[in-house]
Amino acid sequence: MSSQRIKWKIEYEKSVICQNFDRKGYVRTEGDDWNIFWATVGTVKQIFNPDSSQRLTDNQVINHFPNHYELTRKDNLVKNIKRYIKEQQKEGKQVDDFLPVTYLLPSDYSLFVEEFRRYPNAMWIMKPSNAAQGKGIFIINKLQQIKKWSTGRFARDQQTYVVSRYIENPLLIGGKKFDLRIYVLITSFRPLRMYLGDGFARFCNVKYSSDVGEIDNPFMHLTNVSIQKHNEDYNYNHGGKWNVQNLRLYLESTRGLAATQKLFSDIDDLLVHSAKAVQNVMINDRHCFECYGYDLLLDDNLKPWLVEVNASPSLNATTQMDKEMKTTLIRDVLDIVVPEEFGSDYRGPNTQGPCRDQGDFVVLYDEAASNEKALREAELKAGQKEKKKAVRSWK
Amino acid sequence: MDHTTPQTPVTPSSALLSSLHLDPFLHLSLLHLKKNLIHSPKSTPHTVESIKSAMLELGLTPKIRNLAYSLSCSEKDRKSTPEILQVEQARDDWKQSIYDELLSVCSERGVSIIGPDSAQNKKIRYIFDSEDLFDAIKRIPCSSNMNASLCHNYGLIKLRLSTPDHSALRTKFSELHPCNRQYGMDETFLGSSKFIQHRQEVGVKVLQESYVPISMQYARYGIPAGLRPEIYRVCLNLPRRIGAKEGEYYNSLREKAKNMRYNVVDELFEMDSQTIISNSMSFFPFLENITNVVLAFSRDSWVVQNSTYTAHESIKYEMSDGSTTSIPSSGVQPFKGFVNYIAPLSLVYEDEERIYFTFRGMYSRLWCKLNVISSDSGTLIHLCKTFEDLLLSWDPALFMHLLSVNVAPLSIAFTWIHLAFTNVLETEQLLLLWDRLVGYDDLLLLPVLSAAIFTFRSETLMCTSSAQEVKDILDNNSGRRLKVMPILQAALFGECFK
Repeated sequence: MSSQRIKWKIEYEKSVICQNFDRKGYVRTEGDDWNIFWATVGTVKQIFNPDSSQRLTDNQVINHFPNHYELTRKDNLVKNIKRYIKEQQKEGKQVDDFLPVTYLLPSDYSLFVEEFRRYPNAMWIMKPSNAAQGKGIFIINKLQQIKKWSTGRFARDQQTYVVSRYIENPLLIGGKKFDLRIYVLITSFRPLRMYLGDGFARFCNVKYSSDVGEIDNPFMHLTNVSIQKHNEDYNYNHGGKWNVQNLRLYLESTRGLAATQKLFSDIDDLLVHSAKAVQNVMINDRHCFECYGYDLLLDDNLKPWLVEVNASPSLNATTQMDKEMKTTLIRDVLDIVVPEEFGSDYRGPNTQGPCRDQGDFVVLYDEAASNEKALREAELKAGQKEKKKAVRSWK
Repeated sequence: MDHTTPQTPVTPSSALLSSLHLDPFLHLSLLHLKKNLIHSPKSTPHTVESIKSAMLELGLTPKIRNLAYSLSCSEKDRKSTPEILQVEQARDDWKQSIYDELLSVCSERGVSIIGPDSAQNKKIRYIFDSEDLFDAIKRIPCSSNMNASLCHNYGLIKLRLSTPDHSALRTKFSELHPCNRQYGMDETFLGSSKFIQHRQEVGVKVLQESYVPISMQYARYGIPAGLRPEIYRVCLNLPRRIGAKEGEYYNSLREKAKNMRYNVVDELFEMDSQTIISNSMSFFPFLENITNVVLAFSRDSWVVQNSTYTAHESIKYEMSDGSTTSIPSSGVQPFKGFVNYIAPLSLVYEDEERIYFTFRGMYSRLWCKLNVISSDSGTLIHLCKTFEDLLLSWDPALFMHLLSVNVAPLSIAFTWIHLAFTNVLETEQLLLLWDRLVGYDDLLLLPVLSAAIFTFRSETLMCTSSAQEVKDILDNNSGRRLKVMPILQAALFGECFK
């Protein structure tokens, strides 16, 4: 099928996306005859609504899973991961926790208070379940700070919060706190097809201190660019962002090769576990793919912690380097999700054979391929036993 | 040897002995050793072996070995030829002009070099930068009697200096030959894990030896990132791990910087740091550390006493108590881009003290040669001439073409050489280059790499029809994707450059 006939649709003008579609020679459309639609989560929700009459055709792909919020809403993420870790334990598989201790409010309020009293010197971070860009986040170290809030808020609106143990010993570089944004593309949940993309570190402008007097300083604690932008030291050249290569070089130099390799391998494990945790609850529609923005925090012991998963990571480019990275990112995503043969007989990514590296994306986890490999290895072992048996019987 | 020979001949052993007394650690250890040997429980006579083992126990052996090695090197470093007249003149002029510029900036701001600064909001300007240094060098005539007919050559450096030719470079840098596995190449290939592991094992053994020439030899093949912090220290004749004394010394320098501020000089260092580091994509997290290091450096008189060359003139200031102090104590005046020499080390060391001592060592051995006006081989002018001669011999058509569009190749390569590629390469590649600079204790790879980049881009450059096009192709940003080792290997050992 000539690329001329592939049609694309977009809801909000994002130059990074439009440019990529244009370069591939796809044709823009405003109607429902699109082949690839870069939509908002709200629109995707409408399309997949059981009451909607819209049925996607075989050669249509869209950029969100209908119930992505199993992964991307903080409260669902916590529930799903807690459940998954328990299930794994029952099967005898130990999965190290990678979510800081978290409680849902208001439902877990009493459990939270018990935990809080056990560690009276700890700091906790409060986040609205469904907000983004650092909105509504604050840090507490005294129960009164939320008692006050809880009496007022709960009565008024339905907004649920999550409260997590705040990681007070984050890894600091140049004395500043940072987090990691990593892009992960998932084209199928059953079986899992995951690709690992580029990433970058986002720095706070202000030097970190775990001093209690500073818990109200968002510039010290919250790494979101939307917040750091307002600091007078914010630099438009690099935007407080560091690419992963610099991070890797710094860590290898200061912590050694082995510790650095372990960290990145732990990060890979974390990403795969998080996807496995929601594997069975996700609506695995073959028209869907999703490029998630994972936010991770590294602590002083080089352990990665999952902060949250974003379904619509920002595609705004704040710096030149940013623009290049996001353009390449989308280019690679399109190369993966738009198959070469995109006709009316396309049956989804699982018919395309094993996952392959593409551009800057490397295959993170291909469940089908790894199961097959395990099967073949088992068969080989069994076959060898068979052979031995045959030799003995002949004798 | 020095032309002014001292009364008593200085033999290596007497030099060693006098150094031993000067080094407090060694002095104490030797006293300790003497005590141990005299009061040893065994009544056996002291053999060479027993003394050797006692020294080993006290950790004296590596220190003395390295001391002996560094003494033997400094013998070679001493100048054997007198300076060329016009170069000496140019150096004096250059030092004077910096001095004058500094004083004039002070008077523009109405402040003295030390003392209360009333003009805090006035804008300040750099006293000089790479371009000024370049101009000073370009102006040097080829002969002191200005006989122009003898001076014809295509390059900007008119001085007739002899530079190494291709086969001399091949011999000198034989370790970089593609048949040798090394970092910057082999660790990136498939199946490289064995190589990486082997290199790691060898590196650990090298560090256990802690012997300068062995560490330098190791560095020539490129250093794995995890071992680089310690290998650099050993190559610079520092102990592998930083000691409490070094930490105290660094803190005392920082105190000096806080207690007595240099007007203008400190501001210029801070401005340099602020402009370059806070805008840098790689180094912005380390702004504070780098600023502290550069200010501490300016207070360190060790620098002027131990650098192979003194690049600039300090201002002698008479204090209220009658004593004179040099400003800055390091003898290194601030210029635009100086912090570039420090920045890459912020990705190598976690703490400031270690960044400081490695930077100080590298400056006194290497970077001072990039900032002095001298005709000595291995210093800036000679490196520039090497670049021009190499490019002319490797790709004369390109050289001529560039001249025809009014671009002197050195005008582009000068900052690459002067700032040791810090403004061009991305950090990992830069450090792989610096590994070799440290390993060979020589800056010759700077002009070699510069010429290699030109020839690497030769095809595209030959198509240019204006100076601007040339500048765009060789723009510093395009250097971000350059890989150092393949380019160096192709240039040095590639078949097309027979």
